[in-house]
Amino acid sequence: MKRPEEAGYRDYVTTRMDVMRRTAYLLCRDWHLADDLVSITIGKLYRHWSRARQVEHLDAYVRRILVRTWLDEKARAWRREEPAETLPEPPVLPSDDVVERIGLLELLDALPPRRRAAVVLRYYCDLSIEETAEILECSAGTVKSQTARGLESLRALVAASRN
Amino acid sequence: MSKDQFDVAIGVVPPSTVDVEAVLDRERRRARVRRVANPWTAVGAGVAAVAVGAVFVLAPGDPGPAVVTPGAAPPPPSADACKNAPRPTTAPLREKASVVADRLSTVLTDAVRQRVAAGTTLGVHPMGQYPKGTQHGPLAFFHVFSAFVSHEDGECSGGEDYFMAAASTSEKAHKGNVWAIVTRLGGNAGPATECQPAPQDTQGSCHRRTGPHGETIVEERLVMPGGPTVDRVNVTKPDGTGVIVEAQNTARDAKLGDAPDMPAPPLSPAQLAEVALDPGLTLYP
Repeated sequence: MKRPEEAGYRDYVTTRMDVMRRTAYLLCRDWHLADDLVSITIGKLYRHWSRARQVEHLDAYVRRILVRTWLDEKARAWRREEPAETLPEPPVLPSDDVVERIGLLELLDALPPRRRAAVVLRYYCDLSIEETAEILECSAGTVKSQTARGLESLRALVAASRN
Repeated sequence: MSKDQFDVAIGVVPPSTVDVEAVLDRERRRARVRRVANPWTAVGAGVAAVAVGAVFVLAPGDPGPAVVTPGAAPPPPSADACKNAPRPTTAPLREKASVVADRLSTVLTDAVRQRVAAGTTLGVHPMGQYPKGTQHGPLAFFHVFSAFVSHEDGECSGGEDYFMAAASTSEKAHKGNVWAIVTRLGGNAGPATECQPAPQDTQGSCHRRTGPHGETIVEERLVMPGGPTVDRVNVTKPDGTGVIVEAQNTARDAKLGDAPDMPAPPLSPAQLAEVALDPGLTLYP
């Protein structure tokens, strides 16, 4: 990559770093893994920058890399989480807003990977059904059903935490 | 459900551990190695790859992931992205990697010192940093290695297995650099065995010949107009060792587009060939 191209790449990556990290965190709920995912994503982006920078929707292109990288990571055996027999006790009782905040993330975490990705893409990245389907490589109908089920679960949890 | 609710749920974002410069270093290195190993790929696609512990595209000529716009049909993922990745075809090493590295370092250092201009000093060079943050001495070989990992999106990571060394050269105000790769044949960093067209925006010349002991020698010169000159010699030895030696007349890296720091690289193509043909530069002593 030539220097001007590299400067453009660096500018883009630096500017979009925060949203990439947040999106990655919503997908994996682990800041270390989120940063790993972002590092891998921007590495892939570097390799294809000469073409990627010419696409109309560069953010969508990058989100696709990020989500595909995460789904790929989830498929790897060594990344699968080991369930613990007992949950650790929280050191202090969290306040209501924290309950809701943690609850939202925990429920998101409990969703199957593709459903979680559908919810994040639709409601955090604000993508259309068609754009989400494109990234997840599935039909628009599948995205509708995935997000509907995901939202249903999220709403139930939020309501329960308020009660 | 809104973006704001998610941002509230995320809470305080910890400081980033994403090291953009490290990613750039890694990608430049893999681009360099792939450019050397598969020059036609770099010419054709304008991209390059090989990695230090991260994801990369291996297959020569692989067009990389398609640029996808909403509504476009994506390509089907490969069942095993590493199935067709290049792998070493020659015998495994009989020595420990550290022993190989030490032995090669001595040979290369002697061979280079004997041929550079009088008064030339060798110093460390950023290309001699592996892994990130570990700087190796001038012309001190290190083993670049990573296991293959097949990704569902059709990419293949890892698969590096070669020895590399680099040094900056300094003679009064003249600054340049020299680096070398020694590898088993068939891997992803093997030497070129045929001349290839020069990359875009680069003037090139190439000469292929056979060495005194049956070696295949490909000598290349790449000149970037107004920029540095790169001399590179690829040697394929009958014992199964591949050697690439390169010299540039710029202190940093020719790919950065700096102006030349000396009239010509510190070693000529003929001298580079002598270095690469040194019988000591082998993986099978």
